[in-house]
Amino acid sequence: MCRKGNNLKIESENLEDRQTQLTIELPDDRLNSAMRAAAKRLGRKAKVHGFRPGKAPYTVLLNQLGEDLIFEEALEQLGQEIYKEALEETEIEAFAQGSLEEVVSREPLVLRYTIPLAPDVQLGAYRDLRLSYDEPQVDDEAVKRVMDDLRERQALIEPADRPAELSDVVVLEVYAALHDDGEDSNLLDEKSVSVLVAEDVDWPMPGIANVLIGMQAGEEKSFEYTFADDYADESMQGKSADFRLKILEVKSRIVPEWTDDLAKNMGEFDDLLSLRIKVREDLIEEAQRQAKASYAREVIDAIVDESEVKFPPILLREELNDMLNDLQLRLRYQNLSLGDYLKIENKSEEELIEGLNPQAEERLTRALVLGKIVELENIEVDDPEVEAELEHILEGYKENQDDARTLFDNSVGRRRIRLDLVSDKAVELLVAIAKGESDNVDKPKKEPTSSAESAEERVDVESESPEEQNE
Amino acid sequence: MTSIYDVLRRPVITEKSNYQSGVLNQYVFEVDRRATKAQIKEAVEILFDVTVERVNVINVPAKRTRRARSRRLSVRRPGFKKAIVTLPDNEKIDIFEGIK
Repeated sequence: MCRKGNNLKIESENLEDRQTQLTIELPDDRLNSAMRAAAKRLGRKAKVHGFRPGKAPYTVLLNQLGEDLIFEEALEQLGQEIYKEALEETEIEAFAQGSLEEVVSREPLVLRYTIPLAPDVQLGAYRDLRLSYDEPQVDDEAVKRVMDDLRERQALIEPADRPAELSDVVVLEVYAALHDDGEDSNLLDEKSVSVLVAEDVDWPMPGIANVLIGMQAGEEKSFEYTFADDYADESMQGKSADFRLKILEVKSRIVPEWTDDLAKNMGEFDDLLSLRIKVREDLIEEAQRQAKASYAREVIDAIVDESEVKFPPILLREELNDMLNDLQLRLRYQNLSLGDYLKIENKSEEELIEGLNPQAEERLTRALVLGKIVELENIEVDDPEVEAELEHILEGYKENQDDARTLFDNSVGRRRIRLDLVSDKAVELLVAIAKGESDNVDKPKKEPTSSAESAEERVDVESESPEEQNE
Repeated sequence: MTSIYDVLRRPVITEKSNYQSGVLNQYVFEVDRRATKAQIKEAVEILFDVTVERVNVINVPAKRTRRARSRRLSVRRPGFKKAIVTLPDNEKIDIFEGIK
């Protein structure tokens, strides 16, 4: 009896979403031998009256355990075997583990499998993409704002024995309650809180400065306040509350004028001018970084828009899983479980997944598009580069470098760094192309054929490839 | 015990009886205490439509055993009469399919 799969009857049918459906009919004796093997396995554990474990004959087991149970057990193993054989026979390259969809009939045994195929990425003409890039500008206004902030932080605060004035700091006892609600509607109850007397301070309510000006330490005041209809907190709009204030202390606040001496106090600056230059440089750097990041995002968005990406649903599920794990990890830092989070957000797990779905799809599409570009452009990262990046990361952890080293300096960490670097390079390249600077970038070595075959060797940029996860 | 249908109680299916039926062509039944070899032979021949070569009868004594949960209590298991029916080589009883 030939045990290899050449007596399988296989029909394959391509589905949408990069999946193939195989309908396989297999001969009875395959099922029979599998059933017998399964019964033997089960019989080793099952207690059958009158027989030592493992000694009961097939017919007795069939009666005792029921055909369904044995069939299920048999299918578990047979299903895997048949799957492998069918793949060999049809020469379909499965991208990830396929699944046994349904048992169509038992006699003869007909099984239906769904097999995910490698994602198909059709890039648009990404090499012809041009987007204009605006160099970010930093105006004097921004510099002045930062300088003012710096100056205010240097303010001298001293107790003052006089009524509060504008730009003083007042230490308050505040009690506030929403009225007309009837219930316990305690809004505020602070024993000692500092408030800056300034026009734009809106805590505990807008216009507090006008109330405070002229009050002295020890003075008390109670009043009613109605929150305006355009108040920031919607739930408070149009509601009125009773406030009771008691001034504990009035402090004068002297904001120093800019002088060279003050600049020296701020750090390693020779004079005011160099501080100002430094501030401007920092601002420009920050603005450029942001502009670059958003430009890169725009470029990728444009490319993703032009591309057509088809992937099997299993990839999306994995991406969702990744995101959920991520979320769980982040929640653990806050000592929350996913269940707590769901309770807070008032969502069921299905709703949460539903909500994440579009995001996951976008992430996945981006990753696939980038992966495709990495492959087409032959972007590679060699070991020294990874090493350098690793050292760079470790520098960030000055004190606990050893801990960090154990965290990153292993094959998984290196892999991740490599993937990050590869995708960074891809993004850089795309940005260069979009800016029209691609002349100094190598031309692609392969033509963008973007067929399923070339996608097999793809590099997964953001998530780890599913085959490995399945192992 | 008025008719042949009351003679045979149930087939005995154990590792031993399985060996006997498979290799020796002997089939084992639990039978009524009052049944005789002749009655057993008649009953098997009519119910299973076979010829019986020989009938051996054993009175299986009652046995004491302990209860599974509270191990102190001992329980008496009833005894029964066992009949081993030998058929000629070319005939068979399919015990698992029951009476025809």
